[in-house]
Amino acid sequence: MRYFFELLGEKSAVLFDYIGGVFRLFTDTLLYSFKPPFKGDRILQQSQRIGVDSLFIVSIVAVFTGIILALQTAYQMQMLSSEIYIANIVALSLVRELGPVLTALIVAGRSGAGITAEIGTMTVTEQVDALYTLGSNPVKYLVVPKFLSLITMLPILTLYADLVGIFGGYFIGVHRLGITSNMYLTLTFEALAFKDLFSGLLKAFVFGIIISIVGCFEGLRSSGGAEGVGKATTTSVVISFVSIIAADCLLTFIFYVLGQ
Amino acid sequence: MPSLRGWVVTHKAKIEARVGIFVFVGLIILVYFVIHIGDLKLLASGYNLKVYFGFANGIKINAPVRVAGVDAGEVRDIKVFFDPGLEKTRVEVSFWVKNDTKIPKDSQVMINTLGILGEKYLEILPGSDYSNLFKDGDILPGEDPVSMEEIGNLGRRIALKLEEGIGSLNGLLGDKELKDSLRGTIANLNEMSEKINITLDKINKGEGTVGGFIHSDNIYQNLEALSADLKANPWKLLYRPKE
Repeated sequence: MRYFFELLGEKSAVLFDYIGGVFRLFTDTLLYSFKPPFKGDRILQQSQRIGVDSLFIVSIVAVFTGIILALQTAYQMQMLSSEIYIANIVALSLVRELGPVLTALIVAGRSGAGITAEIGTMTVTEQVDALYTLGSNPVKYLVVPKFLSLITMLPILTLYADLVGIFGGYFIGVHRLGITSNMYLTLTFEALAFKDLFSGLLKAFVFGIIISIVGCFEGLRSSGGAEGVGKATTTSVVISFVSIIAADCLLTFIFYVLGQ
Repeated sequence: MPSLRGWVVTHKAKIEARVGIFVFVGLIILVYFVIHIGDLKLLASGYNLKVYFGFANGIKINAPVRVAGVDAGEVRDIKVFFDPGLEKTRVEVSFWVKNDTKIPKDSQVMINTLGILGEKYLEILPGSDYSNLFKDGDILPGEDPVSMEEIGNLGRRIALKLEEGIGSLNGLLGDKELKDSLRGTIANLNEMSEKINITLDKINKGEGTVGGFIHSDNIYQNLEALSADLKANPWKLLYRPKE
C-alpha cells in the first residue's frame, strides 16, 4: 500500500515536473519571440521545411479524406435519399475538425519528430551548451524560429487542406453522386459560417504551439547519445499526438458551449 | 569566395520565394473562403420587423426568413412575454430582412417546417397590396402554427373513428345470414348473366322474332314499300274498301 502511494507520488511529481517544464519553455519562447534581434532567415528556413515541404503530403491526405467523407456520408444519406446533405457534412467536418487535426498530426509526425531529433542531437553532442558558452540563448536561437514558423504555417496548411479536402468531396459529389457542380459549391458555402473557419484556424494555431513546444522540450531534455535521441523523438511524437487530440477535444467542447 | 556567396544568396532567395508563394496562396484561399462564406447579414443592409405568435413551435434564433419561399433574412430574437391586453402568453419574434424585400401589409406570417430534419423557419406569404408596405420596426400579425400535439390528437381521433367504421364493417361481413343471402344473390346474378348470354347468342344468329327483326331486312323493305305506296296514294289512309 505504501509502495502504491510512493509510486503515485513519484509519477505525479514527474508529470507535474514535465508540465511545468513545458510551460516554462512556452513562456520563455513567447518572451523571446518579441525580443529583438529577430532571426528572419532561420524563421524562413523553418517555414520552408514545415510549411512548403509538408504541402504535398498534407494535400494528398486531405483529398483522400474528402473523398472518403463524401462516400461514407453518401452511404448513409442515400438511405434517407438526402444526398444534398453530403456537401454540408463534408465541408463542416473538414473545416471544423479534420482539416486542422489531420494537418497537425502529419506535421507532428513529420516536422515535430524532425525538431526533436535535430535539437536532441545538438543537446547530446553538447552543441546547446556550446551555444550558451558563446553567449547565445538556445531558446532564442533554436526554439523561437520553429515556434513562430509552426504557429503561422499550420493555419496556412490547414487552409490548403480545407480547400483540397472540399475539392475531394466535390469530385465525388459531382462525378459519382450526380449533384451539379454549382449546387455542390453553393451548398458547401451555405453550410459554412465564419465561426467554422476561424474555429478551425484557431485549433491549428493551438496545435502549432503544442507541436513546437513539445518537440523542442523533448529535444532539449534528451540525454544518453543516439539512443536517447531516438527515445526522445518517439516520446515527442506520442506526446504531441495525444496532446493534439486532447486539446482538440477541449477546444471543440469550448466552441460547442460558446456556440449554444 | 564569390561563387559560394552567390550560391548562398540565390539559395536564400529561393527559400524566400517559396515561402512567399506558399503564404500568398494561403491568403488567397482565406480570402476566397471569406468572400464565399460571406453571410448576407454582415454585408447587406436591411430592416427589422416583429411578429407575435401564441405558439412558436420551436423556431430558433438565426432561423431563416423566407418571403414567397425565397431566403430573405433571419430571426434575430425571440422573447416570451405576458400580454395583459389579451391576457395570454405570447411570443415576440424579431427578425431582419434585406432592404430590397417588400412585404405588403396584407401578408401572412407563419412558422413552417423545412426538410427531413424539421428545421423551422419564418414563412411570409406576401399579399397583393404593394402600395402599403411594412416599414422598419413594424409589428406583423402572426398566424399560429398547428402544434404537433394537436396534429397528433387529430390523427388519433381520426384513427379511432376509422377503427370504429372498420369494426362495424367487419361485423356486417361476419354476419352468416347476410353472407348466405349475398352468396345467393351472386349465384342468381351469375345464372341470369348466363341466360342473357344464351339469349344474345340466339339473337345474333338471327333466331326468333327479335333475331329476325335485327338480322333480316324483310320488315324494313315491307315498311318502305308501304310508306312509298302511302305517299303516292294518300287516299288509301282514308279509304275503306266496301265489304
